[in-house]
Amino acid sequence: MSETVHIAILRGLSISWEKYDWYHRLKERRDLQIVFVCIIIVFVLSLCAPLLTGQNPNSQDLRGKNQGPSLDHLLGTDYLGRDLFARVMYGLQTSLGIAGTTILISFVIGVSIGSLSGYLGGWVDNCIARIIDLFLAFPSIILALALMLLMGSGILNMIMMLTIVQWASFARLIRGQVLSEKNQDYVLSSRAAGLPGWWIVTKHILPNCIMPVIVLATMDIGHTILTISTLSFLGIGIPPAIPEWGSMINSGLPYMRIAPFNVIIPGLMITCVTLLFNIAGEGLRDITNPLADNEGSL
Amino acid sequence: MNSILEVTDLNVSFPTRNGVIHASQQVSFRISKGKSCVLVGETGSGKSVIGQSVLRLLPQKSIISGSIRYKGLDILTLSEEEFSHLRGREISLVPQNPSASLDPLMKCGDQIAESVELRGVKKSSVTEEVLHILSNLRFLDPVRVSLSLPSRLSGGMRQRVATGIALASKPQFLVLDEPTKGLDYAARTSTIDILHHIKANRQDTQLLITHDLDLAHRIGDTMGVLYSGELVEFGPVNEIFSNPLHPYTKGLISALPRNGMKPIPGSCPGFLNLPKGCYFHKRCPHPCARGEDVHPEICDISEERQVRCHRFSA
Repeated sequence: MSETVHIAILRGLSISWEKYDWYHRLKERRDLQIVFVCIIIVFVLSLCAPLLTGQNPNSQDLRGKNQGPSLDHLLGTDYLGRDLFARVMYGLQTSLGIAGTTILISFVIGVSIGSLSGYLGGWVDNCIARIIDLFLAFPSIILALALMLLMGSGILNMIMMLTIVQWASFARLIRGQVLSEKNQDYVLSSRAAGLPGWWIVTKHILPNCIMPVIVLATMDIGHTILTISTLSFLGIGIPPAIPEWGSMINSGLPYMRIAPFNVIIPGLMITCVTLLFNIAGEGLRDITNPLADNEGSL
Repeated sequence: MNSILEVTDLNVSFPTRNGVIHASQQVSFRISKGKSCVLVGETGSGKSVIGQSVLRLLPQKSIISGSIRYKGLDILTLSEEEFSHLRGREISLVPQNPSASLDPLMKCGDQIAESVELRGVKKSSVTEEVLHILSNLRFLDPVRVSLSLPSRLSGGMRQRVATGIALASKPQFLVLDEPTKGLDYAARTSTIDILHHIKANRQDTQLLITHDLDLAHRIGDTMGVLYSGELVEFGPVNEIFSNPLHPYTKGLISALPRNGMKPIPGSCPGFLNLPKGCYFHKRCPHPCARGEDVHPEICDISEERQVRCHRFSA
């Protein structure tokens, strides 16, 4: 290979890395790499739940109820003789599915409304900001309880309800970001270049200020999983036929002495997955914002 | 008159908590086709405000009166939609602070390409056009620059990229807002060279805002000197340099390093408590009695020259 070609390739590489400075910082953070790998594993596990378990999470066996771990049932069975391992795996699917969808929808709604409000300013911004304040003023769990009672249980209703509770925090954060970003000189000069407003917002302002919102979204996945479990523990979230950690804990409570795994395993799963997303969120914040103090992390 | 831009009695003021700031007062000048007009003045003399009002980029709170006619159209009364056909297409801006004026997360080439696309160039030839613009701006390795983020370039290179963005739409009227601000000597010299080159090669009209008198001397055809938001002297560059009339202009020229760097005593009056009489009265080497409480009007000396000084009025 001639030298010039070689240099060109090296240059190409260094240029493609320049854009992703966070990639370098990620390479220095072994702890975060582990967390991100764990998250990928969790996602794969939830997708592969049917392959891994080979058991129907809803098939009952009243003769073999509340059993301890065995070869047939890796983690034993619950009070209706259903396989606990299968239910925990399918529960992961339920939690991640609902939380992920909720965050995705809230993110899209929140970011579009918030950035519109911040960029347009004036009375439009005033109106939207007051609406956001209104949504943030409700205590979210109570609002969620009320909405669930109103709409009834079900996965779709759960997603809708959680979105209503969530979107406002995204909107508020991105609105503040856009407000501070739109007074930057580069926005003025792209206006001077005659670029249309929607183009300036999507191509220039948002890429420069979206990172904190992505961090919030990652952390909120953990929060949402907690909320889902709380609501199902209270018995108003998700129909009992669908495996869910919160309702599993609830139904396992009376048999805690003879079959403790029914409570311990779902509880541990809730803690671990929430913790994982919280650490990932904080880590993302560290590596995307080089000015933040990295010293205090794990 | 074959004038492209005609500014008449432009007043711009900003309401603030401490009172109204008159950033530009009764400014009138005209620029003929293909000429470049330089506005000089120290920081806070209202130079940039004039540039921004030509592009209608002033904050919404500002109060503007007077008229700015571009090819006979009054820019200040056009609707936002009508004006959007001019801004960035016929009139474009080389912004003041190139380091902050480039999007930190977009490759320089893409930023230039945005303006090229606005002109309606076919997608397939955009890259070629971008590289052409960059090599015209004397970049040795246009490909690398177009793939770099602004943070990887030096101040002078960023200035050239910002100029490239403004030129990409092939404007007929170019507003250059302090193109040499914050550049070191070498970068400044090369920027001046490039601006000179642009002026020689393109037939566009320029409004150059600067505090760099050398740049003004080299590029400008006509020149206006601003003091505390007012135009104190206006005329052809050569005449102003060879025979400055207003004491402030004289002061500026003798403050140049090659003329011995003699400073003008005193400092600008603040915008909030402007004196009743001549704004320059306290610093004037030949203070007149009328300047104490009568504000001088701008008066014509010859067909092309105007000055705002009691010694020349009547």
